[in-house]
Order: sequence, then structure tokens, then C-alpha cells
Amino acid sequence: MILELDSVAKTYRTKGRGDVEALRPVQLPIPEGSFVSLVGPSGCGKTTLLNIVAGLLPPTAGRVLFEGQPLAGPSRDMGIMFQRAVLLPWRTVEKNVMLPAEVFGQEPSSMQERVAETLEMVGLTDFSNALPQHLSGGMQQRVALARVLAYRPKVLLMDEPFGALDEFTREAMNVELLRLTRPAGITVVFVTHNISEAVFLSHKVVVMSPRPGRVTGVIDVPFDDPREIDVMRQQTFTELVFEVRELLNKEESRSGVPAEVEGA
Amino acid sequence: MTTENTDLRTTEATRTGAPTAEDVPLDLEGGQWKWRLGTLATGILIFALWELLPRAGLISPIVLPPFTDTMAALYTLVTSDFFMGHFLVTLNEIFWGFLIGTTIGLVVGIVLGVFEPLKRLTYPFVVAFQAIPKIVLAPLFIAWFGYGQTSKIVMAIAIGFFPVLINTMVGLETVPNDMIQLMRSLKASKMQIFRKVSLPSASPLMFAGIKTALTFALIGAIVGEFVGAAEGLGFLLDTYNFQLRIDRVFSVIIILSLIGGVFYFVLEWLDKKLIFWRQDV
Repeated sequence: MILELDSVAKTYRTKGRGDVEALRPVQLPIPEGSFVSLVGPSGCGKTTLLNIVAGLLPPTAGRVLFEGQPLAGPSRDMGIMFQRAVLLPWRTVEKNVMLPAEVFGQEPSSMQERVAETLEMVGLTDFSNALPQHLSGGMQQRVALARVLAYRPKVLLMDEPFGALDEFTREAMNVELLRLTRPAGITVVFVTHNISEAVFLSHKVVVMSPRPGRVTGVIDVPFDDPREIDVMRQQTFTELVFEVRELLNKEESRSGVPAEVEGA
Repeated sequence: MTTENTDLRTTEATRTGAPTAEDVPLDLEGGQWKWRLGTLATGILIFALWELLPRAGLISPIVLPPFTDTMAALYTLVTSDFFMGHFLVTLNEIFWGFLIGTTIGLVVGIVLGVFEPLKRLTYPFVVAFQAIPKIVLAPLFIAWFGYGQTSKIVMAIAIGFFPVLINTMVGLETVPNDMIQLMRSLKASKMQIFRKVSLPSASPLMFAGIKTALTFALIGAIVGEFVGAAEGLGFLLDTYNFQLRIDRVFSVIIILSLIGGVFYFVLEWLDKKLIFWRQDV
């Protein structure tokens, strides 16, 4: 296991309203090279959980083991991507991809080659000198992906990275994401509220529910790699999507609050 | 992949500077030059009215001297042997007032923006100082720093530093949180976060404050001279006003406008060069 969530929980103390349970204890092993999605409606604690794994948010109970060691704060072996591309608008595409290397104190000249290589991989070589504002949303996310891949993290944490993109671009990005991470053996933890996206990408779909945020089920996805978009045509795919949906709906009827999840 | 292609196409267009539908400003038939011509015509009309109204006796020439008379007065003033001295005095006051005021505003703004506790302690006093109509300080500054240029420079600083200070602070406060999170995930040091993210992210607002500071410094210097001075363009203007030589008053006003205009133009140019990624203008 490259990552192991050991009874990780988060409670927020608020004035007047007492403690708010954002995340009930989660037990989750994540094998090296696997792709795990966290699916659920808003408020189910999926982003909280991701930020804890990233070391950006301390858990109130439990611990995260990264390569067997308890995690204390962010690690340079993990990379994170957000819903926004979060590019620095005053830097060119190339300089944005160079940012982590600069922060790590690496010699820029030694990084040049790897940056160029990564930009090539995401198909942005022609745009290395462009400013982010001149790129479309999909291309901006591609730069963000290149930025994180360029320093070769072992784990990639993604918080609804394609949530703001249109359906077509999102699909293309999903295929690309698989192409870039699977052969490299990168472990991915992927937060989304899109069920079919989760099933298409993952080895394991972790279904979460709100009020209080908790894990309500883990579904294994048996498709072989490499996957192409036509996986979605298979009967098994539809059944799995339905199964996830079922799990979410069960929770919905239990709490009496409709879950806001995009379906397949 | 069709998605890929559309992506490339839209981007290619914007990148090469070819205008896309949203980029083109409202074009009311005929393009730029017609608008320029219209602006020129409006200008000519204003100057014509300025010339004709006093000449026709509709406005007393004492209140508004005709345009040509004003231009003649301007020429006489500029070529007089005493003009350069006054001009340089005021220019000096504006320059140093602006420079020192901006520096103080930047330094204090950054210090308060970076050290949260310090900001909490001092912010009420900063706001209270801003609530003072600064012009009332002019007599005090003259009492403290004398009749010479120092009191005017101090006045320009007092008015000019505030917009820089506030904009710097607000700029540092409004750095997008996900940029900070990104840097934290890379285990960046506080100094790295400040230099690589916070400062550049705040710089468009900082520069906007600096532009305001320039206008304020000009006002500060002139007001200081009004209240008490023996030299400078403000002193000259006050004197001519007292003598009812309104054509000369207008001449000084024109010169002051030119000073402000040139400074502003330089800053505007610098802004475009330094904040090249700014989109909101």
C-alpha cells in the first residue's frame, strides 16, 4: 500500500452550534499504481479527505500513512490539482510548468529538458511561450497536469480537476489522464461528483454521503487497462454506474435530502 | 479527437492576436479614425466657444479670458525669466512627494499585509488618519517644516501614501487561496510564496494605487503652496488670482495639467509593461 488512511476523521469546532462532523473515521488502503475515486454530493467530505491526504489539512483523529510512514504536512512525492487550473497569469506556460522545480531549488537548466518533454506529452509544445489567459479551459488544465507530472510525483491528488470543463473536453481529458498516469504507475486519488467519470477512470470507487460526511461503500471496477472510451458501451459499465447510483440513493432516502450528483 | 481541434483553433486565434467575436469593441460603423476625427472636432468646438463667448461679450473677459489671449499669456509666462524657477520648485515637490509617499505606502502596506497581528493593531489608526481631510494639515506642516519646499513635500506624502498602502494591503489579502494551497503542497517557504505568488498577484492593485498617488501628490504640493509659500506654481497661481490676472491663472492651470498628464502617461506606459497580464482594463 502506498497510502493508507487509518481511521482518518475531521471535526470542525464552531461557535454556538457545537462540533460539526465533516468526516467520520475512514479506513482505506490505496495500493500503489491504483486509481481511486471519491464520489459523492457536496458536503460529503470528499474534498476534506483529499486535503488531509495532501497534508494541507490536519485530521482531528487517525492518521495517513504514506509509504508506511505517518504523514505530517505536504510531501513533494505527491502532487495536487484543483478544479481551477491555478496557473500564475504572469508566467508563460513553460514557466508555470517550471514552478515546482524552482520551489524545490533545482537548477532551471537541468529541468528544461524534462519540462519540454512533459509539455510534449500533453500536446502543448507549440504553446510553451503563451500566457495562460490565451488558452482555453481545457488547455489550462493540461498545463496544470504538465506542471504536476513534470516533477514526477508518486501520488497524484485531483480535486474535481475537470469539473469546470464541458462534457467533450472532459472526456478527452479523462482518456489523456489514463494515458499519462497508468503506464507511469502513478497512484491517483480523484475527487468527482460525476459517476460515469469515476467508473471509467477507477480501479476503486469510494462512495461518500453527507451529513455527516462518511464512506458508505467501496465498489471495485474490474475493467482491464488500458481503457478506451468504448468501455462505456459495455453492459458491466452501465451496471456499475447503476450500482454506485443505488448506493447514493439509498443514503439519500435515509437522510431525506436529495443527493446532488450528476448521473450517467 | 475533435475536442483537441476546437481547442487549438480558438487558442490559435487569440494567440496570434487575430480578433475573435468577443474581442472586437463596439464598432459603430466606420472604424477608429472616424472616432478620432470626432474627438478632434469636439475639441475644436470647445476651444471655439472659449474664444467666441468672451469676445461676443456673453461672458466677461475677466471671468474667462478668450482662448487666444490665454495662449498669449501662457507664452509670455513660460518665456519669462522667473518662470523656470517656480516650475522646477513645484516639479521637485511633486516628484519627491510622490516617490517618498509611494515608497512609504509600499513598505508599510507590505509589512501590514504580511504580519497579520500588526495589521489588526494598527488598522484602526490608519483608517482614522485617512478620515482626516488632509488639507487641514497643511497649516500644521508649514508650522512644523517651514515655508520652504519641505512642508509641501510632506503634504504630498501625507495625501499620496494612503492609496498605495491600502491597495498593497488589499492586494496581498486577495491572493487567490488555491494559489497559496498549491505553493503549500509544494512545501514552498513563506518567502517563496511571497515572492513567487503574493507579490506578483498583488501588483496590479499596487500599481493602480501608485497611479492615484501621483494625482494626490500633485494636489498635495499645490495645496501646500496655496496655504503658505514664496515660490512654486501654486504660489504663482494664488498671486495671479489675487491680482485678477485670470489669463495668467489659466496659464498656470494648463501647465499643471500638462505636468500631471506627462507623469500619468509615463506611469500608464510602465503599467502596461510591468503588469502585462492585466485583463480587466
